Amino acid sequence: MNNEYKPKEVKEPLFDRIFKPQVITLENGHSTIRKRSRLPLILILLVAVLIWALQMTEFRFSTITRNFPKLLDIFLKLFQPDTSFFPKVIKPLVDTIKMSILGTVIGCALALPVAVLSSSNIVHNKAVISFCRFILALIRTLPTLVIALVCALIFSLGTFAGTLAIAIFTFGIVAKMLYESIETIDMGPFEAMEALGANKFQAFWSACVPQILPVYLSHCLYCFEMNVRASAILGYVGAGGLGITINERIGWRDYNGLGTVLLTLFVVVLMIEFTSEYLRKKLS
Amino acid sequence: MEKNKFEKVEQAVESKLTVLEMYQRAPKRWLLYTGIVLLLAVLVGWSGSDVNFTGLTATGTEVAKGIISGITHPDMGLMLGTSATDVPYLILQTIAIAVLGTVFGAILAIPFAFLAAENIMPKPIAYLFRAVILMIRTIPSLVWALMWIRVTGPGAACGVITQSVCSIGMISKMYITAIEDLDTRILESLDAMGCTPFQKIRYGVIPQLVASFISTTIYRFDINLKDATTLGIVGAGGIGASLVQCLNSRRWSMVGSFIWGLMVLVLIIEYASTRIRSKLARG
Amino acid sequence: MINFKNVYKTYPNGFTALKDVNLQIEQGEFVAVIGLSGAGKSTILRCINRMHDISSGSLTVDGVEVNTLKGKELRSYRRKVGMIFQSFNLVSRSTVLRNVLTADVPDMNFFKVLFGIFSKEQKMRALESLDKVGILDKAYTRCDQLSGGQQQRVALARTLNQNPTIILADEPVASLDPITAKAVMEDFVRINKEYKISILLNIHHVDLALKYCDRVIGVRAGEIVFDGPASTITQEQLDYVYNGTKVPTSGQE
Repeated sequence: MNNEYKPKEVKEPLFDRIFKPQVITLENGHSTIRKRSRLPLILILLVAVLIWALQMTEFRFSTITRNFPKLLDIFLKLFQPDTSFFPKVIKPLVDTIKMSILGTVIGCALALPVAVLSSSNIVHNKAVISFCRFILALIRTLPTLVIALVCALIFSLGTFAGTLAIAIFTFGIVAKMLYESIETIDMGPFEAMEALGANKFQAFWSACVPQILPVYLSHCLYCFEMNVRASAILGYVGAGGLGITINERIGWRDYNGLGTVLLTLFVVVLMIEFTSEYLRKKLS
Repeated sequence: MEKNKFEKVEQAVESKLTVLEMYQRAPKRWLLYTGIVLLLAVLVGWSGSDVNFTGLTATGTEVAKGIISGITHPDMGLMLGTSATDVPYLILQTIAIAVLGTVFGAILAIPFAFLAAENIMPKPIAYLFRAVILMIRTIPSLVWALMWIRVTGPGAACGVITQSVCSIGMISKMYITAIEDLDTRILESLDAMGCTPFQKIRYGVIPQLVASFISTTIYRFDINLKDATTLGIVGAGGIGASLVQCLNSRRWSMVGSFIWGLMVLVLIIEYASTRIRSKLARG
Repeated sequence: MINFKNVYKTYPNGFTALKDVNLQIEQGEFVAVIGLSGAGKSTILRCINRMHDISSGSLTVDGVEVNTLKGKELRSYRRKVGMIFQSFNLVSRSTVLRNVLTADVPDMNFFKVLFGIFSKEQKMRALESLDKVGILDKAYTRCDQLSGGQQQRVALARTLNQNPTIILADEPVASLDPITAKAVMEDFVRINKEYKISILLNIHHVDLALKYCDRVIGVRAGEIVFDGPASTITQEQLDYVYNGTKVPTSGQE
């Protein structure tokens, strides 16, 4: 439509200005331009970073080979789980699952409106969008364990702090995944709804929500999977659940007991993952 | 015209159905929906029953205030200092742990991925390796760190080895998807040109895999970096250990400077990783 | 009755899409708007239901000045004007019936919209609309399982369900194959004759326009250069509308 459209001037990258592209001319006078490969530069940088990192962390392969028998010992014990310990695993395991369910539900419920407010195709106010996205980005920078620790310090030790930490973490992740999905939905039906006299809310609710809902539920399920795994360690900082038991077993060097805990966790995570994967396949 | 005819016949058959009959044929979806809502309500109720709000701790408000004042008044000396206990050094150490952990993990994941790919290996072997990968993924990284500490002793090296092992799980899972999506028609055409198996791998397989492998690795680096910040809690080096120490001893201005350092670090890395990956996807 | 009087339309980027458009369309007419891409066909349609504002002049529909409508008035005005899109604009994950029912949404209260509660009467009316376009049997199928022609019929049923007096169709057959395109055009003709709804459509395929429509309006660079019965248009006039380029057809004749 716009006949005064001007193509944007493409600025040449710095790299191409330092290392001029090679011009290959064929015998018949036709020529083509070959840009210099960036691979050598990237490789040199990578090797330099690796050498620097090795020095920084004082990582030696020899320590691993020297102490490998110790690890083997731990592993052998892990694979001979102490079945008599099993009854003591049930209660914290159930706590962990309860924490994850409640935390996921709360976090996902809060994420939906914020995700909608952060989607540039639905909200046209730039200030609102960048504010919401900034908050989400800040939340995502904080590790779950740190959030859990702070919660435990404020709200006393126990499952409440864990649930809150999971809810905050879920909120950050689901809202981000959701607004990225919302921005890819088909806005045609929304336009059609406006054309037939619906207001913004009605148009959004009947044209966009049916598209968003399956994606949203799928993100929630995915996050629940992650949360079960993540909440298993929250107890380490006193936020309830399996983590306390794990920490205790390692502290006492009871690796057979630890084996029982991990095996139970493994089975539960496996079951949840299968169910969730099945449900997510049905959703799409 | 064939299709048109068919549609007309179909219409003639279906037109016997009246509007009312069609209305009564409506699938009973609401039963399913109420079922799902009820199930969800029961689950939430059950899990809520045990999560008790016991109120703030005696020092709860003090902690909250302390953290807020710490974030608004961070310890600038700590934030800009250059010694081994200051924020810049710890951030660099965290990055170093994540870099090494990711690179080692990405290399270790390659054999795992090929051994667990169903289109290359016989099914029993593939399933066996999938189980191993799943097991690696299920054990939380913190537990891995606690076990490795017995081997390497506390320090950044423990963080590196923990992340190398933990990364195998996710990275090889995504490698497997890439391998199973390989376009085998290219191999056919290389066969037709008379290539040896090695040539087929070099020019038919690797070019297809490299981009997605690198993309996966960068994505995992993003995750590892966040993970590396928490590994410090159990003594595996990085910024996390100092942050937790300060939290527990309530030196709020130091907590503030560590949180600022953490936020800046993660935001920068996330931005860079998204940029690089979108560039890779475009080619 | 739709009445354009000296209508100008300039887009925010400075491009003038309509120049001094004068047009009168009576109730029950079947009009095709033809012209090159970018000539202003879509703009004419979209001004009528105020998806775009006009810059100057006056545009009245049944005596109502469209450009003065605001908020609620505008929405209740749009209830009377149906619109069909080239890309159907259906919620592809929902069933056909759900899509047709969305035509009732603007008249429903907040909670009924929120929970998607429709009465039996509304459902029966929606099914009747589907029956009018001949795809009643597909009522409970998901839209993404239908062919393009069927999807455009669902969109037509949705529009019929809002009981309009005017239907605007923006390139309704452009993404359909020639045979389906003809079938959909026949649907339009039938609806125009049976329910006395005015239909205004832009169309790229001149042969379809001449075959099915009563009146043809040729637009060139924002100006109306032909307006008359489809049977009277001459080849020179067509060439003038299309600026001397080849006249596009559906490739069937």
